[in-house]
Amino acid sequence: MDAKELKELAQLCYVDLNEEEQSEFSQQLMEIFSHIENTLKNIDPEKIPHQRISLDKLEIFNDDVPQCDFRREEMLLNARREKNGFILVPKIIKGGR
Amino acid sequence: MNIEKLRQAYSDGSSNPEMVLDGIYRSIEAEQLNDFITLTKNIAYQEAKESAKRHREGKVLSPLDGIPVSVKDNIAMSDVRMTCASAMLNTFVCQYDATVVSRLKAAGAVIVGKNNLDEFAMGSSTETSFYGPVLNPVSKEHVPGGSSGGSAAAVSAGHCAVSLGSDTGGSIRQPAAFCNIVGFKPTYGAIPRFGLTAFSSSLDTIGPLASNVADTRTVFDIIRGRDEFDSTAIFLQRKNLKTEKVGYLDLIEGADNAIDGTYRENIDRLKEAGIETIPVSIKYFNESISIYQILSMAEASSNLARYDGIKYGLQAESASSLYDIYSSVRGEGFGKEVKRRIMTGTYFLKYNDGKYYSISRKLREYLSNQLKEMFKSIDYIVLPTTLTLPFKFGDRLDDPLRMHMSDSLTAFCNLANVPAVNLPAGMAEGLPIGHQIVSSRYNDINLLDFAEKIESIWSRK
Repeated sequence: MDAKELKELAQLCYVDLNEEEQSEFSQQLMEIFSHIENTLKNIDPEKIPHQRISLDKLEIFNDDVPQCDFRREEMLLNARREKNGFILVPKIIKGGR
Repeated sequence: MNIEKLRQAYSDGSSNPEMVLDGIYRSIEAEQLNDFITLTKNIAYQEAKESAKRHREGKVLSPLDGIPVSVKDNIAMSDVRMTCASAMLNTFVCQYDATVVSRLKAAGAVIVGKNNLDEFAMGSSTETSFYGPVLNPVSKEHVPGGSSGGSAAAVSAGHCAVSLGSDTGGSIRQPAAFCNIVGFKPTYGAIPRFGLTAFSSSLDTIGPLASNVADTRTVFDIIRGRDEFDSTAIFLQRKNLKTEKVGYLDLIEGADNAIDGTYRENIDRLKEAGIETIPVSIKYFNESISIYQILSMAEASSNLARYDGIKYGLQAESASSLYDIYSSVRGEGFGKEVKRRIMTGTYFLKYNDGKYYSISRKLREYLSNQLKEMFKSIDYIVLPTTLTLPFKFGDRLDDPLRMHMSDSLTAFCNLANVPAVNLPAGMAEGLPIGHQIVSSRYNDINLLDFAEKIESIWSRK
């Protein structure tokens, strides 16, 4: 995996990598990917009998009734900044007033 | 420290929950194992005071009333910080209790604090924690295992009688093995996951770590069962089992000599005790860790998308684009192992047309059905929990693939959603060895009874 491919994968994941991570990850990730692919590459998926995992005990679903257990003030407790009951986020739209 | 001894002391008046708490907090302070991220002293002393009053008045709520317990810091507790050992959630405060926490509180348990762990439960040594590694009380040069390393160390050091951890690929059983205690991963759904921070939702389970099987059962009975907030939570009933046939693996590829030798001795001890044992082999067992890596990391890459730097957790000061908000906050907030796992999961979902993801899904179904068939002719499988003895700090930190291999013997249970319990199984070079007993899906109650029997056989050394 070269630097360009590593950057593309990091962008897909929405994670910035610092310099140390950029230098370490290429090799570490290649080792992980190669090991997994080498383990599984000779398995023919057509030869694995297809059976669904039993869902016999997973049929319990709640009624789909909207509930509001949290108050607005509670919801805002973990926001870094808030104004008038809304979360303030960094401005990303250029121009305008 | 165990529940029976504490209950006896509360009952004869030789101790009370507040005195026990005093001793625990002194010991946590003195030993500096770093097994807790947050101590909940104010809440604990209030709970202890109320419990002491109930004990005096003979109005005890449950066998856990006044018993000191701790909770891994990826499980929600109202009005207490929950960090998941990540810079991303360093200041995050929960607004509700996980179902397991509300059941502990209703039973009168005293919650001592929130345990250290590998960041977002991703690791096998507790070295990936933003708050630093946990020391193993058995040997401070060696890792306590992970990801529930704080929970395992706390139980082993007597900083609580029982702790709740989480197990996605071995994260309860492996640290329990390294810290010489009992650790139980139940059938998927047996204990509600509401309030557990999601890592890999189809594999995640909550379970108890304790110093013996009896305590494990006591906690399990209090926290298990259906839950209106978790549609996968089920109520287990005892299966009618008439036999105790044990399967064992003839060959454990890659196991250290000390582990392999102890395993063979322990199988012989079962035979000597009159338990029928037969060799078994599990197809795709050696591939199970790779299947686990793909599926757990693919799910993690999706689950951790919620940390977007907008609503809670680490948040951006300024940014030039929405992409910039996401990637800068996630770049800063996540540690290396979390990033590697998100990237690995994304890679296997995105590249090769998802071929390996698709193969892994099929193999998971195959493994699951194979075990279901196998458990028609045997009742339990006994195998080592780890391939190696506890390793030293730093040994595997720069070799993530080798670190991932720590789950080689445990992950198949999560893939098949079956229950498994680690028991202390011996010592070598002064370090603990653990073996796990695995059973069929929904057979948790019999499994713990059988584990208690094995516990007494293996402890008679």
